[in-house]
Amino acid sequence: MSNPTKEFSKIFDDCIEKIYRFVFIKVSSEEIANDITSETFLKGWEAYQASCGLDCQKIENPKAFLYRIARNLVIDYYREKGKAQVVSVENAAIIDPRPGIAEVAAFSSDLDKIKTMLNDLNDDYQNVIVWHYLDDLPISEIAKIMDKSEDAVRVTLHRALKSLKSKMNPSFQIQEV
Amino acid sequence: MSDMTDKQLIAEIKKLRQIKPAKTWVSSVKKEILGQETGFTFFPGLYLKPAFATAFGVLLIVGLFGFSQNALPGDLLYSLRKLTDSGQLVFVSDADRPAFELELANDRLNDLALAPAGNLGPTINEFQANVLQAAKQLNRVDATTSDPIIIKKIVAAAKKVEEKKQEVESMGVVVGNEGTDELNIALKIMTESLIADLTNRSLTEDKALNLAQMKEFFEKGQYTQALELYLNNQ
Repeated sequence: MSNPTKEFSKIFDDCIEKIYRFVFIKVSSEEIANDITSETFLKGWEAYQASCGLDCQKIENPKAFLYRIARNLVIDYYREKGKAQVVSVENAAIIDPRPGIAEVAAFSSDLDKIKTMLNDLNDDYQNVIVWHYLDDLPISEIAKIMDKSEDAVRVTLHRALKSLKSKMNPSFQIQEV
Repeated sequence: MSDMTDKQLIAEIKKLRQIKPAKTWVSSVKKEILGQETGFTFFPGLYLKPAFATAFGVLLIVGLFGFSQNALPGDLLYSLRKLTDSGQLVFVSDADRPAFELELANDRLNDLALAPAGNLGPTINEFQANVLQAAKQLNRVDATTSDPIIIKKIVAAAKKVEEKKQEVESMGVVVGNEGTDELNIALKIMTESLIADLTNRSLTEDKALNLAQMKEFFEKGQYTQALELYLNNQ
């Protein structure tokens, strides 16, 4: 007999870092990344429970499902708040004074540069780079998340890398076909 | 200034793996959503014993071990936590020992990232001891005849330690190279033996290219990359 809590607990452990990183790269704020990531898993859990109903038609690819939720929540966030990063004054006092890994990473100039350049890419380009190179997702899985063919994903990935390289090397010229 | 190659760009991108959520936040979110901590109970199931007194005593022990999983250097339960971690060694096979010791080392590095500055010395020593043990165990592994799954675990654990050590050192914690130098030598020997084994075989064009790339990584001292390349093409 299946145990949805135990199953989703494993999914949570496998995906929490990846989803958090995916969101953080887009929103550049630990506070907002925490909020969006926890909402992602909450929605994911609700959907997972619902899918384990009477006929038990479980979600086929929970990881892809979570990425889609996260991506939509980030889009909603930008729609409501705009692209400017907002730090609310009332929350400033409760920030942990010890630097977390995310803050230290953000202050490292190399990491900051690559993150900024990545953020400058369009959404699809950002996503494929994060999923393939950071989260080690195979092309087949990315294709399911993006609802595209594997060939289309390969092309997107190739173009994404080229576009990022052009930002890192201003002398590099992109020649689009 | 020379233009960045694809490999260099991908290596830069992978540095973003340092971005991770705080462990305490992860635990609290999981508890909020599922009602669970991310730690584990050392003796699962014992609290089901019927006798109240025994159950209470066992619950206490379980609780202590459970709470100790989040203990940090300087905390009262940290010694118990290290005892718990090391105690699991008896259940680990010889083949899995190098990867297990590296996982323990990685746990110590995670502790260093979270612990207050004054409590780091003993934990750094523990980390160095774990890595040294892993290196000694690794020297007994013959990569050419071992199960690739075992090698994969070792390489993944070694890579985690490399990356985590860089993170922790970027926070100003001086971890030193004791232990990691020996680990590097063990990984070098392992890579060398695999390269020698492949060189003596007749290879397809693709595998020959991979071997050439492995040798490149080896020359640069990037042993985990060389081993990963080897494993990805098995």
